[in-house]
Amino acid sequence: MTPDPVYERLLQISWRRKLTEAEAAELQAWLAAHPDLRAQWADEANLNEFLEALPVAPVPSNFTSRVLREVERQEAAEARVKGKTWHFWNWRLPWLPRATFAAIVLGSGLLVYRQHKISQRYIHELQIQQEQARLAGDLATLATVGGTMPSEVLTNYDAIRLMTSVNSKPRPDAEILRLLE
Amino acid sequence: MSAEQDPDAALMLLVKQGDVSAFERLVEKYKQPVLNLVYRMLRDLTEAEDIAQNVFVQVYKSASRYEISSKFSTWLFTIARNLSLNEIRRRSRHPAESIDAPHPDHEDQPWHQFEDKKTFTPPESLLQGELENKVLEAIAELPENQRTALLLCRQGELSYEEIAEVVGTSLSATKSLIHRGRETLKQKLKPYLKTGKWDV
Repeated sequence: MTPDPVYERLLQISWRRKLTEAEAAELQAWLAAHPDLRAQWADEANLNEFLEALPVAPVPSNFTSRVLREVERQEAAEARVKGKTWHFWNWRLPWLPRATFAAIVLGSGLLVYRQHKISQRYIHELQIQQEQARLAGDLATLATVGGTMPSEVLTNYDAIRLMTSVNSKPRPDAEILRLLE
Repeated sequence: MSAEQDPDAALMLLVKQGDVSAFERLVEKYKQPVLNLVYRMLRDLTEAEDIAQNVFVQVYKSASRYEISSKFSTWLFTIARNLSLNEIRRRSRHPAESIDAPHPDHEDQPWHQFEDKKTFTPPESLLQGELENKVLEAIAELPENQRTALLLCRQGELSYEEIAEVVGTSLSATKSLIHRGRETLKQKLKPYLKTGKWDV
């Protein structure tokens, strides 16, 4: 392909349509300056003429009506098939749509219930794990404290424990109350 | 691209709303270029008529999904190209039975016998017909994308950008396809091109 932009532009125009008078004049001027490309242009122009001279396919006079008839025929056929399909299911299995709907609702319900149970179980297990971790922490603390504590501290441990286990509220002093009266 | 820029797209929007007369107008406008393209792709007028008819039926059936994203003619010629390609593929899978195939019972006779309806034709027309056939043959032997690009280019309905969209390549690749196709044609038609006449 010749890289010259003028030639290239005019060539590409000529591939699609005949050059206008102005374009033809521009071409002649260009070819006058580039006579070595005259033969190449002549081949291109002749090929254009050959392609232009090809006979057009004769369109049947009833082409449009044939198209419209075919559209109608295909639409009617599709409508018949749709109608037949619906009629078949409706006649054979009239309960099928309702049963399908019920199955979907039931299935969804079961799924939601199962998910709920799974999440509850998970939360419960998590709580147990947290409690176990807390107890383990307490035991570890106690072991640490117990190891460093002197034995005298624990001398009155039982007595103190018993005091806290009984009602630790101070009882009213009945004698003083009587004197105050 | 909008309906104002492309009056055919505006008609197609009417078809989408069920306007059959708008569809008729589109068929009337494009039946010749579509049939030309399909005929030159397939080289069989009867099949080309059926395919062209099917192109418009497809257009009507696709109307409900039609969106203006490119020119209507680009969309139309893309459908025409695809249906022609389907037909070419179908032919390659089921090659037509040869009319010269021998008859199974009488091997010396062909299977099909056709009445010779050819009337006398003046020599000039014969020569012209011969060159027409040479040109059509040379076009038919081109690779499909070169052939489609070249034929669409020659029809002048579409710009190079639109041809690129139909063929599915870039603008420069499309121009290159056309250039290479034309170079092949020039090689094959060399003796005719030298004189620039049909009667070589």
